[in-house]
Amino acid sequence: MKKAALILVSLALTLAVSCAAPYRGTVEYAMGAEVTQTVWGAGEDCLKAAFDAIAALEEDVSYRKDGGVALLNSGGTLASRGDAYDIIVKSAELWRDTGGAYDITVLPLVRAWGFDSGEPHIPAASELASALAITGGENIIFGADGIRLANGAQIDLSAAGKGAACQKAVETYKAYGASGGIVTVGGSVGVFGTKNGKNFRIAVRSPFDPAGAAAVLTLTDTYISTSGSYEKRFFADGAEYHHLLDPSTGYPVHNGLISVTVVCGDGALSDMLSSACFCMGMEKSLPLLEKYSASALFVREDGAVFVTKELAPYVECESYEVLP
Amino acid sequence: MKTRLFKKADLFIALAVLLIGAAALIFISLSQGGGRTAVVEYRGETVRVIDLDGVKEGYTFTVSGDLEVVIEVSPQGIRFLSSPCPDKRCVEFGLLNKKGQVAVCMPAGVSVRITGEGEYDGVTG
Repeated sequence: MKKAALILVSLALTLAVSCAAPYRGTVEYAMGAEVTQTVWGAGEDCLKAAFDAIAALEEDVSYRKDGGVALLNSGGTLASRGDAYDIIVKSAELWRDTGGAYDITVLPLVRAWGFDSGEPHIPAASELASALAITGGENIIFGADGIRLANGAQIDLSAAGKGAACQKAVETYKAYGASGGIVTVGGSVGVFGTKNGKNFRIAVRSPFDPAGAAAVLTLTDTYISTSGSYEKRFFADGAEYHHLLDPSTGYPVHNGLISVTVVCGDGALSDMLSSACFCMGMEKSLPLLEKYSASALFVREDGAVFVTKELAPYVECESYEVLP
Repeated sequence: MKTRLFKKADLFIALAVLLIGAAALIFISLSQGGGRTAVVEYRGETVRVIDLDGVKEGYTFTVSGDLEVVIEVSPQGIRFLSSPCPDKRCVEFGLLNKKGQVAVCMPAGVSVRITGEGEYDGVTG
């Protein structure tokens, strides 16, 4: 009888643990975006620690704050390894791998267009030329004493920060022993474990209907980021201008794509690759994605959806083409 | 001699396990399913909670965040109706009526999300 009671109790406990109720956090703000978090098998202290980790990351990687990136942009040398340092090292590698299409020295261009101020405008030709003159990954100098910037270059890690922030949160969920968790920082998402045995369903925002989904991805233990020309844009002189700038011309990229979603096991890289792939276009992105063990979903301006073959089994979408 | 496959106590245990399982399933479906609730927040503080399935007639209300935004609630869903923010992305989000959807007015610090276990767990883009 004792044995039976033991079995009964353990069964009840198993049920209780495996069906843990989700703990949802409130919407908070960091990295210039909204942060939403839900965990299974952990509580408020876990979400608070995760948000603190995101805030600490922001301090180091945001050019608006007072950490590593701010130090570099003010002419200093970044000697100590940390979040900013690690992302800059990854960025330099991606700059080489993309032939300069992914470039973190675009801050002067972003400023010239006013995308950092919320009041975007077409820059004067002279302003654009001055910004272009100091844009280029070759201006990031890796010396024996650390990293510094040459030629008056200024860096912006916005295209990596939200994905990196998702990874900080997921690492915290793991440290707190959660059984599952999902974090969103702006357009980047991190998923870990399961929600009571099920994987997570991530909607890829439709570029044509912000409240609708272009596709739904069912995934776990990975990071998902999207770069879309519909995110920050303005209209002037009858034309549309968006925030995804080509570092070689200084103008918004126009290659027929409207959004690129990248799935990758590294948070910062998911974010960086989505920007890189948007700038490079679909065809040139494929070898890049393969090198970084990442997969992607492309939405063209005409609404057509293309998915890399590794991602295809996890995609729900009315109609899409699988890339070779 | 007759050997019984089950003793009375075993049957009792099996019944108890079944009952606990059924109770757990009911608990899960109640806590995760159910109606759609819209939560309006200003910088992480809940401003208003709306049972969307219970809305019979449309109405609007103002949230005085860092900017004053007007939110419209109707039987079809909830949306940012107007905002003095420069980019109007919040208004462009349009109607939210599916669980998991989130719309945000960053300059005002105001967010609207549909909570509950639903079609999506998160949104990228």
